Amino acid sequence: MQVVLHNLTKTYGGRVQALQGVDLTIPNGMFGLLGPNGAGKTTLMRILAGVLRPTQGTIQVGEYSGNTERGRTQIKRMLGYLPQDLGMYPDLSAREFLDYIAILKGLDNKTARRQRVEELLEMVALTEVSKRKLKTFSGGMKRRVGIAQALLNDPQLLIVDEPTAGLDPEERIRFRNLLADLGGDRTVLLSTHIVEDIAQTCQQLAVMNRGQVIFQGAITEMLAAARGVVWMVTAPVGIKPEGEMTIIATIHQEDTVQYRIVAEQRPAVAQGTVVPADPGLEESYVWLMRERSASELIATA
Amino acid sequence: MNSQFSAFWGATRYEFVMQARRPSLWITFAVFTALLLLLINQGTSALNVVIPALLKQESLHQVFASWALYVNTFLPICLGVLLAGRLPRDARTKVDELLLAAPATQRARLFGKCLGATAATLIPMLLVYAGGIVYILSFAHSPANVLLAVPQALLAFAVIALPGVLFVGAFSIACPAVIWSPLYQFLFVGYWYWGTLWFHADIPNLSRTLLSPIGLFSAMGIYGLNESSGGNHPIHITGSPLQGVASIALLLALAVGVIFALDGYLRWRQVSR
Repeated sequence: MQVVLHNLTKTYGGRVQALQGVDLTIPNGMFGLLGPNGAGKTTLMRILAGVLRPTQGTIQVGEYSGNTERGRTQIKRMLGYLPQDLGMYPDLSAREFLDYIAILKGLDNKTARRQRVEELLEMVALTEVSKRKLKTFSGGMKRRVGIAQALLNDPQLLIVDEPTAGLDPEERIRFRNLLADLGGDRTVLLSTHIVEDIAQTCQQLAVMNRGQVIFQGAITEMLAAARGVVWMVTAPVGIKPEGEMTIIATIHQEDTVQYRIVAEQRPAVAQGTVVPADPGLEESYVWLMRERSASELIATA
Repeated sequence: MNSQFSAFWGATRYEFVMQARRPSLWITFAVFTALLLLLINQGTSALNVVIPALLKQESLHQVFASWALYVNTFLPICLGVLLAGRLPRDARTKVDELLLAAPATQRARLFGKCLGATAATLIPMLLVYAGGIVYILSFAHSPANVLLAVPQALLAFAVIALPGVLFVGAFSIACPAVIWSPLYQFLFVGYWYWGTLWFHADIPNLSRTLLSPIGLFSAMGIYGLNESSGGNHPIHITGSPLQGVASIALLLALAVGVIFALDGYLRWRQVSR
């Protein structure tokens, strides 16, 4: 199912512009939404989930328009949503909470609903603790309840906002694999500021900054855009590369230090070697943000 | 079953469960009732003096009605205070985002929340009432009629207390959408004290009108309680059965209306956010 956003704008309180004319097409499969904190990703997600209304612009999810009440209800029927700040009722058990959300999602048949809840508890490995109150759950367990509630209605569109924030590395990997599996036969919109999460799961992505989409395409295209601007510098300890650059990584070895650098020009170094390197997604992202900042500076001037 | 009706029942059920699990619900009612009994159970107003006296003057179902009126004069204070946090809680726990992203309508959820949370809060109030009924029956000289008395007692509670409880419940769920809930709790207790317990005819309020949430007009009009029914605090009004029914209808209609208004307000707030 395809999601098409056109000229989407959101202004809070008539002053703060969180989204500025966003045009975005999200195809079937895993789609990453990358951007720094405050880029407008969460606002975009909330609008898509029907939690917020756009100030302007159109939303089309499959055959349904997100600009009408009826369309929004239809979209919600096929939506799974895992918000950034996932809230739960602390006095309910995991099973009760999932049952309640399932009822609100329109799973009216009691037997089918219970079966679905059990399936999902099993899938997220919470069956054994399903009778415990949610207030006793760890952050990782709550995230798992979160993904379970998002999948209750077997959604065609799954929106997950910063799903791995606060998880330990093992939980993060587990979560990423789960999302990648889910992306096979549905549209999964994964919003994050953790580049690694997108690199490991998505073929397509969009990058947002200051309420605008500054890149949309395949990961390979984004990597290609940064070809020729990533450098590997090896220099003796105490000698640093100079010039207009962003240091991505610094690795101390025995007598030398190895730097990965994003710079338009080959960096200068008093001693040592400088060789071009293949860009990773993180470096491509940094390059994109730098380029964007530079063009904004030119435009302002 | 219709999805919205299902959502309404689901919300009713889980709001009931969540409210009933709050330790503060039971503690508040227990402390308040204990204080109340301590204050009133003295001298000529002691229950073991008042109840036999009432049983001599009035029929059993009228005594039940007097007790329902008495309970409903004081205990809704706890009810209003304990319900005030239910709506802000959705935002505080950040569950509201999940609720808004679900296809169930907000209206179905709000009605479910109001009914479920109010019903749970009503349980300790019903227990206090039931305790009083057992006490009254212990003075009644015809134990064979005890079984018959149960439906009478429940009916008296439903007619006198329930409409006001639902009215207070709806307002206590809705008002914290527009004002800070501790402020609402303070204002509510203040109003209840001023309007009900410290009534002065020269200060305008709803307490001696058809909108009296303590059920004065149902007690007067339907059960025929009179001025002496108030014991040491006689009630200086009279009411017809029609006024009693009108009072019940008005209280229930306003309770429903308040939830509709709350739904409209929250929709408006969502759009204008």
